[in-house]
Amino acid sequence: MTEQFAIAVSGLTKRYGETKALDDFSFMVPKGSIFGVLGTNGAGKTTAFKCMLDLARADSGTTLFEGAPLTPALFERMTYVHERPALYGDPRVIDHLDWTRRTYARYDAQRAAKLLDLFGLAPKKRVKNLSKGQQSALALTLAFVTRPDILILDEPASGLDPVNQRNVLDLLIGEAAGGATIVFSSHQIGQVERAADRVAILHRGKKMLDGEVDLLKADEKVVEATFENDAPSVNGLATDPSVRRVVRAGRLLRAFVRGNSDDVTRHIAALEPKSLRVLDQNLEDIFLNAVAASDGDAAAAAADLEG
Amino acid sequence: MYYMEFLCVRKTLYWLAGILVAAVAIVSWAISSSVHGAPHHFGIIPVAALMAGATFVSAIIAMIFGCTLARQNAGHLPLVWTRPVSREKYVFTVTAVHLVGIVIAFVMTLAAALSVFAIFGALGALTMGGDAPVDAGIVGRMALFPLAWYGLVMAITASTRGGAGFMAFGAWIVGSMLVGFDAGHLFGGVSGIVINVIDHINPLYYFSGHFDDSGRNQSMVSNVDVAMVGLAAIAVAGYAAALAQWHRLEA
Repeated sequence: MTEQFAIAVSGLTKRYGETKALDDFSFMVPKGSIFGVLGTNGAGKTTAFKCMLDLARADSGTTLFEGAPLTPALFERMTYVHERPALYGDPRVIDHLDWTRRTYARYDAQRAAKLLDLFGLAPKKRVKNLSKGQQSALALTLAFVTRPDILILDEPASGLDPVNQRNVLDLLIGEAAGGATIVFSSHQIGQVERAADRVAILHRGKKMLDGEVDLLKADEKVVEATFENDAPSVNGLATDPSVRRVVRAGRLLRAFVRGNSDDVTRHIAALEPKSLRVLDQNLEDIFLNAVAASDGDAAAAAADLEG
Repeated sequence: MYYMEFLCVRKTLYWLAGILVAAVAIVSWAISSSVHGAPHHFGIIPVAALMAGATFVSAIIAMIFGCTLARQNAGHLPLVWTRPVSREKYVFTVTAVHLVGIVIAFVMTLAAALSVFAIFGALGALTMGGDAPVDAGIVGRMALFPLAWYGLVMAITASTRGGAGFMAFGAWIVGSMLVGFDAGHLFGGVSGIVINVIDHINPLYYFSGHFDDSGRNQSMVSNVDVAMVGLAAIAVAGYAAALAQWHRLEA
C-alpha cells in the first residue's frame, strides 16, 4: 500500500519540553504529486520536515520514503531546502555548486547555469554578501540542480521577489510534471493553491484537515447573503455540524459550510435577504476556518450567530 | 563531500603561510640588525627544538580544525545532514582533510624555521643529535600532540553553536595553567593530587618540560611510551565523544 506513495508519514509526534510541537501528524503523498503544508507561524511545519528527515528525533511516528525508512543513500535522489538557508557565508556561490557537483552523481551543469541565470545569481559572489532572497534562490538552485525525485521545501519562496516566487512555482510544477514528488510549506496560500494537488493544514502541531485541493474546495461552500439593513442574527445554526463559521459584517452575512449547504441556504433564505448566493470556498477560506475552529473561534462565531 | 572543509583548510593554511612569511622576514631583519653584518654565529641548534615549535603551531591549527562540528552546528546541519552519506562518514572524511592540513601546517612551519637558517647560511648549525636527538619517541609525541588537541577540542565544542574558538583558546590557557601548577608543585595535598589527575587529560602535560633542581629540562612525563599512550588516549576518547554528540544532535 505505502509503496504507491512516495512519502508516507504516520503519527509523527515531537515535544520540546512541555510544548507539543507536533501531535500525531500523518499524511501520504502519491508519487509525482505536489503536497502543500499550510500553517501559521509555529504551526509545526518545520518540525514536521525535520522529523521526517531525521534532522530532529520524533518522539513517535514513522516516515517511509517509497515504502522504506530513510537512509543516507536516498539523499542522492532527494533534496531538502531549510526555511532559513543553511548555506556557508564565506564561500562563493560557485563553491556551493562545486560542492554539490562533487557530491551528487546527478548534478546537471547545464541546469545549474540556467538556474543561476533565472535567479540572477553571480557565481563569484560570496554568500554572505547575497541578500536573503538571493540566498533562498541559491538554496533552491542547489536543490533543483540534482534533478531529485523527491523535494522537501520549507518555505521555498520566502524572501523572494514576486517574479522569482512565480519562477519557483513554475519550477515546482515542472518538476512534478516530470515525475518528481514535492512537499512544500508556505504561508502564502495563493502559492499552495496554485501549485499543490493535495494539502494539509497544520495548526499548533495538529493536522486540522488534509485532502485534494479540488475536493476540499468542492466540499466547502460559503453561503453569502446581503440584507437591506444590518445582517440579522441567525438562530439555530450553531448546532448544525456542517456550519464551520458564520461571519456578520454590516449588511453581509457569510456562513461557511462543509458538505451539503442546502439546509443552511434555506435557513438563511427564510430571513429574506436582498441577495443570496452559494459560492465555492477558496483555500484561504478553508485555511482560516480550520485555524479559527482550532482556536475556539467557532464558539465565538456561534455566539455571533446567535446574536 | 569534504569540499567545503577543504576550502576552509586551504584558507587557514593561506593565512598561516602569510604569517610565517611575515615572521621569517621580521626574524631575519632582527638578526641582521643585531649583528650589523658580522658573520652570524647560531651555535648548535637541535632540529628537535624546531620540530617542537612546528608541533605547537600545528597543534594550534588542529584546534582551529577541531571546532568544525561546532561550526556545522551553527546553522549548517540541514545542509550537511541531507547529503548522501552517513553522519559518521561525513566526520571521517572531514577529519582526513584536517589531518592533511595539520601535516602541511607542520611542514610549512618547519620549512619557515629552516629558511631563517638558510638565509644566513647556517644550516650547518642544526643537529639531529645533541641533547635532544630526533628519535622515534620525539617524533611520536610530536605526531600525537596536535591530534590530542584536535580530539579534545572536538569533544568540548561539538554540541556548541557558537564560541567554539573561545572554548578552544580557553582550553589551551587552562591546560597551560594546570601544567604550571603541576610542574611548580604550587598546590600540595588533595588540591595537588586533583590538579595532577586533571592534568592527565591535558595534552600539554605529555608534551611539556620543566627545569629540575639541577637546572636540567625534564619532561613532565619522562616515559615516552606513557606520554604517547596518554596523547593517543585523549585523541581517541575526544574523537569518540565528539562523534557521540554529533550523532545525537538535532538540527
